[in-house]
Amino acid sequence: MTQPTQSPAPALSIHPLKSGLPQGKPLTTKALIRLVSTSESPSQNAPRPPLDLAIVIDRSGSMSGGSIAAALGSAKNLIRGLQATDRVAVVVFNQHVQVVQALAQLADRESLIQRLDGIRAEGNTALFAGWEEGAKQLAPFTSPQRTSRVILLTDGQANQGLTDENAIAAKVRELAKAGVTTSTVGLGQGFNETLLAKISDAGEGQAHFGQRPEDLEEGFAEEFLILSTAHLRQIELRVSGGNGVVAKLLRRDGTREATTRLGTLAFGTSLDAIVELDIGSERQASGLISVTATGKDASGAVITLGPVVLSLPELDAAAWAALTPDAAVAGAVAESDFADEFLRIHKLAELGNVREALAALRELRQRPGATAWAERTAKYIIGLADDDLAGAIKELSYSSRAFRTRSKNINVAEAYSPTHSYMVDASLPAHLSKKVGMGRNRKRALEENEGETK
Amino acid sequence: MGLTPAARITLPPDWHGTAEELAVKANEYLEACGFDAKFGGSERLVRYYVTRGALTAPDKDDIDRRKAVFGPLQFRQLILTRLLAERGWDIDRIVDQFQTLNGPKGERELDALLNQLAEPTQAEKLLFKSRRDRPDSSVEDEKPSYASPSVNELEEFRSGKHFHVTHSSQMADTRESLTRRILKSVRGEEAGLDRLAQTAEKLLKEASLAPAEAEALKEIAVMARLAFRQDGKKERWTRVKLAPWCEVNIRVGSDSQLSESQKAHIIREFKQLIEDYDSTL
Repeated sequence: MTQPTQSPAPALSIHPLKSGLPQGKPLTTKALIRLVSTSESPSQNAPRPPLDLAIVIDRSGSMSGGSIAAALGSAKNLIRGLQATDRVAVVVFNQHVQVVQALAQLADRESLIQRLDGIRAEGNTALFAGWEEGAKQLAPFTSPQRTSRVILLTDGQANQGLTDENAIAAKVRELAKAGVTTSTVGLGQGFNETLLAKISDAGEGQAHFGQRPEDLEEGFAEEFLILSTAHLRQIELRVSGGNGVVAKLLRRDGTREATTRLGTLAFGTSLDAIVELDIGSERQASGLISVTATGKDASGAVITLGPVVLSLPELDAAAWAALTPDAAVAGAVAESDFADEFLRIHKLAELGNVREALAALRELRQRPGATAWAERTAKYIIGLADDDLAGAIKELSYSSRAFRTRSKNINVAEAYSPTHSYMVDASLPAHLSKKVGMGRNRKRALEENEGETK
Repeated sequence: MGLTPAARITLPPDWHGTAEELAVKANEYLEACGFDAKFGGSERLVRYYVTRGALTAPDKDDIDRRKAVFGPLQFRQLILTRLLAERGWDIDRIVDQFQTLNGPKGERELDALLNQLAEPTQAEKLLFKSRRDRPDSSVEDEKPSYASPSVNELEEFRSGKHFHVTHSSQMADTRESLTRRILKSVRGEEAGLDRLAQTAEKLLKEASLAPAEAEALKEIAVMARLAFRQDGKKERWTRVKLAPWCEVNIRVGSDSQLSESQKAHIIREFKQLIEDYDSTL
């Protein structure tokens, strides 16, 4: 295969819900922002950029039994899956932090794997200190040419040292911006999904959960695949409103800000975000919002895309009323709204209002405008709650993480249509298949949906 | 502060010297990089780093077996250790990270590392507190600690506490029991380090040791032998180079208690010796 010297930059675009403005009247609306990598990976067989990985394992008492076994099993799988040019560090923690392996390029991985066998679970959980040591292993060696990632395997029951979730997330965010990203793996039945979701969001990484190493295989495969085929990483999207317009991006944690971080865009895929627009009556229709995206390419060079400006014609009342909303954008907005709802219901369940949460889920499932993903996810979680309430609550948290990587070949219209079922297509690579269920339940979700689509 | 690109390692590849000469050489290099004179190390610090494993144990001089000879490898190790210690790396982290870099290959790898780590990354700055960033770092703190190991570090060393270093294979039960055995052998005794050397040498003969354990034990044995004579009698030799043509060798031992009049007598004799010295061949 001929290797192109430079891949075309990803395309940034804005898709409004309606293609006009009601003249002289204020409007609150939403628009979809898409970032699309139109090129395939420079070479399918080319090795991915080298990876510096710090595997941080919680060995506190709450991990005893299946969770520590799953953590160690997953760590071994991760180590075995590394390329020769990758470097790895292993840190274990309870109330003490220990470096099992300082960051190194390992010729003999099996000896490290053997050393993991002696680890037993006991003591308290100094989660922040454990993560911090993982980050310290990577921080001095960050470089534009390498990817540095902490993978934190834990039940998230932090009870020693820094335990404030927002303070932990703030530090993780700071490091992600400086080049050390973090993914989380929630283990066991009782893990703290709120904290782990906050960490992986702040850390610009992935969030996984499961009870056995095999539950996590697909998640790690997805993680490596995205890292392997990264077109642009550490992407930050920034929006600014023109005169009379307040514009805010919807973040995965439900908050709204002028910037959001989208993680990694793999070759041949797209990433989406929703922007909320509060347009005053005195506005400049030719410059409503401007969007820019920045990220790093494989060589570490910072690439800026945009600014892309949204301008819409002013329409009289009749023409405006006659405009039909773009179905695809409406679908995307609906999916984002549903994701927000999952987040709200998760909070209800977490506070102990389980019955109320389940009723809200049932109501949500019936709500018009549900995309295929939202409808199936709600149905699946309601079904799961009968057998495994704790698992269902965790699924809720992870289901709220909308807008995963999609194939570039799926256009906006297709992606959010109520009938589109690509998310249950097992033939797609892991990173292109939007999850209905995760962890141990992922297989069950797949089977249920396959049964339904037959 | 970091190493400037201009400040390349200019040491002749066959350079060798004593601990003191190594410290002087490293100071010259670091000063050329713009570091304050007090940043560099002393002969005492060099020896301390050897005991901690940050510097590879020196060779013995072919003629004078009491003399330790350092080379280009230790020069690079010393520069790297001083640089990272200044940036807030503790000695255990430095040892854990770079202990495998030995021999000529190690020199090349250290050169690459010195280039790579010359300036701290943004991420490192967020996690490591350099000495000058520490709000509580007073002048008092800085003065001795730059030139020599702190009293606490030495106390730790004496009591054997620094063996708590979270060495990778300490995780396994066998290593834990090994550590306990080593600590037991040195606990609370003046001649502890001599016993430590003996224990380490004895343990080295055990067949079931993992390679990392054997390596750690070898280091311990060398370090203990370096610090104390085999007969258990404590003494230390220091060579002070006053001029290219003048060196003073001082032996400090358990019998080295000097009265003020004895000291005055030695100084008078030394002064006379210098005055009478004939530099013509």
